[in-house]
Amino acid sequence: MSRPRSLYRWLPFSLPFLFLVLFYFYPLFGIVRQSFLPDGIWDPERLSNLLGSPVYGRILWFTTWQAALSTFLTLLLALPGAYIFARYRFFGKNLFQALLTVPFVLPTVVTAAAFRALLGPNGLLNSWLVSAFDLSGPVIRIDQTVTFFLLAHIFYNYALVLRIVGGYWAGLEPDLRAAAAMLGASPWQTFRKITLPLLMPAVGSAALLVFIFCFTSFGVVLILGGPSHATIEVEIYRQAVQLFNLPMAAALSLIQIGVNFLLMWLHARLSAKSRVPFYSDADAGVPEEVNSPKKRLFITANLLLMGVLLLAPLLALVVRSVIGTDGLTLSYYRALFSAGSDSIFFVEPVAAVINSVGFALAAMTAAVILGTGAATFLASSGHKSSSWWDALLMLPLATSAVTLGFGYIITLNRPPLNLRDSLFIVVIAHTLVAFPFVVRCILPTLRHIPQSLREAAALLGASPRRIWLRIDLPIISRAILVGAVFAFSISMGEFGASAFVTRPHMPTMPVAIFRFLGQPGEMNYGQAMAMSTILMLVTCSGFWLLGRLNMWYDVPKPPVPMPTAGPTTKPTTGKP
Amino acid sequence: MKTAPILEINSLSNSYQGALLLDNISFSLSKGEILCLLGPSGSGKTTLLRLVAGLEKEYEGTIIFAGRDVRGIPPHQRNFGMMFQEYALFPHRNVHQNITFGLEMQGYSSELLAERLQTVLDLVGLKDLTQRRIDELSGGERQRVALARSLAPEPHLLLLDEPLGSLDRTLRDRLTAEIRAILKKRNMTTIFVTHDQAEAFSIADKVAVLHAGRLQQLDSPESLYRRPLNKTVAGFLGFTNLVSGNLEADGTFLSPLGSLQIENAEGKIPRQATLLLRPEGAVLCREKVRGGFPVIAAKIMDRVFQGSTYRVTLQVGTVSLIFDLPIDPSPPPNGEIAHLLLNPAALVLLQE
Amino acid sequence: MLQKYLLPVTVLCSLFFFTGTAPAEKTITLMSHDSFNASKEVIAEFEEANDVKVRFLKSGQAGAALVQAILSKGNPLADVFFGVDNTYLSRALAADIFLPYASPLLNEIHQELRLDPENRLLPVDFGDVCLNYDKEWFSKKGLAPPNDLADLIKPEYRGLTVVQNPATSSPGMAFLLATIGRFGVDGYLDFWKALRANNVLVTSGWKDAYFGHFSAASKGDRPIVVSYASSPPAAVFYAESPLDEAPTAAVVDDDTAFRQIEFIGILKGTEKIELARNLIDFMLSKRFQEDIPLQMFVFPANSTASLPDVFIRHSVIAENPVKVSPEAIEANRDKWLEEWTTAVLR
Repeated sequence: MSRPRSLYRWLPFSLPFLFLVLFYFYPLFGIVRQSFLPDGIWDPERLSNLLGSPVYGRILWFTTWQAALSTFLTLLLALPGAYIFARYRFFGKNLFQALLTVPFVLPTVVTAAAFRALLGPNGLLNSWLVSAFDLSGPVIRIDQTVTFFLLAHIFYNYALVLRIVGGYWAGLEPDLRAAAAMLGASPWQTFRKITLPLLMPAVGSAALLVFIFCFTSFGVVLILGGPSHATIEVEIYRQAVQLFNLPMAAALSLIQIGVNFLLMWLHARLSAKSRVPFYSDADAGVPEEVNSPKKRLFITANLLLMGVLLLAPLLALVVRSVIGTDGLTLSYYRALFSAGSDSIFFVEPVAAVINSVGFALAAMTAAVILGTGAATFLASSGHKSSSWWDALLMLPLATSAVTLGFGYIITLNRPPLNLRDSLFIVVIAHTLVAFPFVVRCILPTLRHIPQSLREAAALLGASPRRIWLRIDLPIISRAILVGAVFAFSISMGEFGASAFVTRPHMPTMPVAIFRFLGQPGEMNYGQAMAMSTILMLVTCSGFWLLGRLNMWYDVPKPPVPMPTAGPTTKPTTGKP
Repeated sequence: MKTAPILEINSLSNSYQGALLLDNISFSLSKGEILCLLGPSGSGKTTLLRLVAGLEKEYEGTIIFAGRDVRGIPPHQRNFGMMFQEYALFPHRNVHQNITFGLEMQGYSSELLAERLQTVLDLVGLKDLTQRRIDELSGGERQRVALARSLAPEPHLLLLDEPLGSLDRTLRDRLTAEIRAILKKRNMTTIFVTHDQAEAFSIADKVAVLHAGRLQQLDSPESLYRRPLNKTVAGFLGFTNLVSGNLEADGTFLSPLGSLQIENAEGKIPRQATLLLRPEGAVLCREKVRGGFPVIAAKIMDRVFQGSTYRVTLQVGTVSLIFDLPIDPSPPPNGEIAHLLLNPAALVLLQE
Repeated sequence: MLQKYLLPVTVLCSLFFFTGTAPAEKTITLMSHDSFNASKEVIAEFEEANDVKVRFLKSGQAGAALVQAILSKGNPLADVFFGVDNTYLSRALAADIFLPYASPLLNEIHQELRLDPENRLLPVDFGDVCLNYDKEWFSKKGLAPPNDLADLIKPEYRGLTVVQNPATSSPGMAFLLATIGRFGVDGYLDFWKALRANNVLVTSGWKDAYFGHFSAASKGDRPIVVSYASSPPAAVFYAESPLDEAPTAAVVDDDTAFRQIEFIGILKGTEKIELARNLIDFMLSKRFQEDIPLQMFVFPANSTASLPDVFIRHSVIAENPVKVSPEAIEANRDKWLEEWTTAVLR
């Protein structure tokens, strides 16, 4: 009996496993081998620096503390936000949620421009302060400071915490809170002793993702932090591209992977242990009415914070895209559609949109299929082995994009895997980063489906395949959609390794933005802003559509207790 | 002996999105009394409980506890205990940690805490399970943990929301008796929500029947059974022998059953009315009985031997009646006509 | 039941999306950095004349593109590689990935641009990396614009300059070389230390320096930026409303600019040598060369190519740019970068 069972367990994992081996481990192994043993000779000389110089210790230390601090600050700011999204119903909630996820797709250069338009020396805030208080110069100077890129890390990762934790929070049994209150726990004690411990799986997942992103931060630190701050990822780029010191780059990559692997394994260990099935028959997570001034104040304050921190920079971009030398103008948008059309690389904005969305849909589909398979496997395996596999699956997130990109060049170079210069490589690179994400989104929910539901279905005559289709899938469908949203964004924003893969000319929106910013001139800058605005608009509509999809899924409620995760955009059905 | 009420509920109303959930409810409760809120789902009983607990805050009217209006006192400062429908045990804490949670919140010293823990464990009989995780407990064990948890801080008022809802019949019968014993031992003022009248009768000092947000009747279990006020209450208590007819000025009730004399027929104003014939209020008799006791003749449609009684279904014209008859004399076989002598006290005229 | 078909439909759509872009008939592949650009009709002329389709592979910044070309040695990604500049020339040649080709058009190319005597890499264009300044800012302040690199460390220039990090930016590297040429290997670090004391701003890349901090573009507050001598005509050409005069000016006085030369070469291992040669000939020809200025905003290497109007009116060429040999660059790059980083950033 145990043989076919374990075979079933491995079946969903076969595809993700194959994918990882082919497009992650094989290229990584290839580039590491080539770096350390060019022509088969071990040359430690170019590594001597690593041990000898204090610089690398400093870089590792800087990378770690800035990632830890960024994670802490993001959690601090985003947890109240997750709370109000999980618990309350208010006007414009869906739109707000879609908008908050937009930063995720913005190229760093554009983010930098957005923040500068607000906080730069001649930005909105400084100009206002200077004129209001009659000052001699700008007061806020955040350019090239740690503050600036911490701010950007929060800007990028806020939605991540909001979505992952918020969804889980919405599904927490409300009676547990009531029970704590009845036992004399104040709201703060209830949060600390009951809600927070129960949220830990989701908070842990979100924190881990944020930490890894900040740890491997490249563009944000490079551009916003200025050249005196370098993460390991920046140093890898410098070593590999500028100094052509591949052994050093590979060694640093391995250090980066090692540190993150340790962390991911630890996280997997802990979260597999906290596998507590809890759910309620009551329709948990029905958003509350906002009915007291205190609540209203709390919600308003939070929305205001989100507005200032996340939406104001986006708005600044939009504004910048319609302001020319002589006031309001649409000339940048007009130019997008006409000028420069003599260039071989000119791309109609519509074509760029189609390309971007095409890549994003492809990567999203692949990521969802692979991620769901992998999560199913992880949820069904024992604690010990699953933490190893779990951590292994997450590795692509923590791997240097430069290193992996170069790995593709030297390994995927002959048939049948001659993919290094095909369009597929772009999708593969996006999928590689996106699918661990999907796993993270689904796994907590999948783990909390009580085994008894599956057993009940089995006794009713359902085959394992049908159990998965009829029990697991409906319950995790909302979590899958959250994962899909991020997979879509990761691809839209050209995240990770794709920045360093060679690709045929296939201009996406970020590529077009980069092309505009490559040359001087007001028109180029304006068009970049206009294209960024279009990118935001398209992304936002994408999220909105995915949100609608979410509602479809919600209509035929599964005839089982509601799961404990998913986004908070479900329609209300009445009072608990 | 009449003590001052500890809990007074006056004209309590509550609505949600325009729908009236509770409509002008008033009642009071003395120290140590056990009140059952009985009603079908959607009758507002859980809402009432949550209002008393302070978990819901929007209402009209007043809730006075120990002479103090509790409006504005947050639930965690009321020192009321509550046991939830699904128990709401904290999944990340073990049995011990669940039970002592309330004590921790009150800042008990560890010795005192251990002592109190021991007491409640003894009370609910959970000695050996203290280190168990919640998901390792059976339904009955969970229920005990939940009860122990709500009792441990010695609340001034205990609120129980369908605490036996998900348990099987036998376990339920045993636990109702146990719970009543425990509560009485502690002289605990309690409100107990249930939709099961047997449960309500065996546990409560007073039963309040709620229907569609209105308090239909508040009485001791016995008076409630003997004299349900109206069709709703009668229906909810499981009475099926309801016959409509006309009440005459002289107190006789005219219906397809013939003419029946009613004791204490209120006001004796001629009107259309419904008569309840309680199922245990009949015996078989011969055709004619002296003393003017009401007798009806009916055709036996079905008879089921139930041990201490026979459950007999009879037909009188278009009216179908069910009675629990003594086993002696045993009822005639199906199809025969039987004569039943009705106990006048078991004939209850219902308010419309 | 719409959601039931969602997945298959998405998969089909994405498949369609990719099959729609499958490569066509006979092709030649040109690998380049991301900044490469050309006119549609110019490329079409080549395609028509050779009955071939040109496929473009973009591989990131100049440095990253070259590393990828080197990594794929022997089994090249493309037939022709464009975009090795003189700072990387020695490294590219040492990696031995290019085939020599003595194009007949070489005699039209400026002699001083031809740095590889074996003609494995042939010059296509050049640009002078130099200081740009905001004309309006300087006239408003009544301050004389710089005409020597040494001006930048004067007290009145405090906090005016933004440069790029040579470790992450190729104009940054070029400017570092300009200072090495101007102040010598012994003196350049002193200059940089003084510049640091004079509150220079270092950014990671050109985009950030120019659009993020330069006062004449967007809303920066630094009136001097390291850019190209061809940036002023670009600013005019890409102005939002037509300009008579460039808002910025380039400083190309003697010993202030570093000449960046971009080369093209045939990748070893290609099976289309004949076509590759044709492509190189075409890119060195007058037709393509005259297209270069307005597409890439650098100067053509071919001496017979004439410049477009906007270049004639608004651009300048350094007469005596700084000279540092590719060999010296390759030999000292690590050392110089390390020294610079220590002096300026740490």
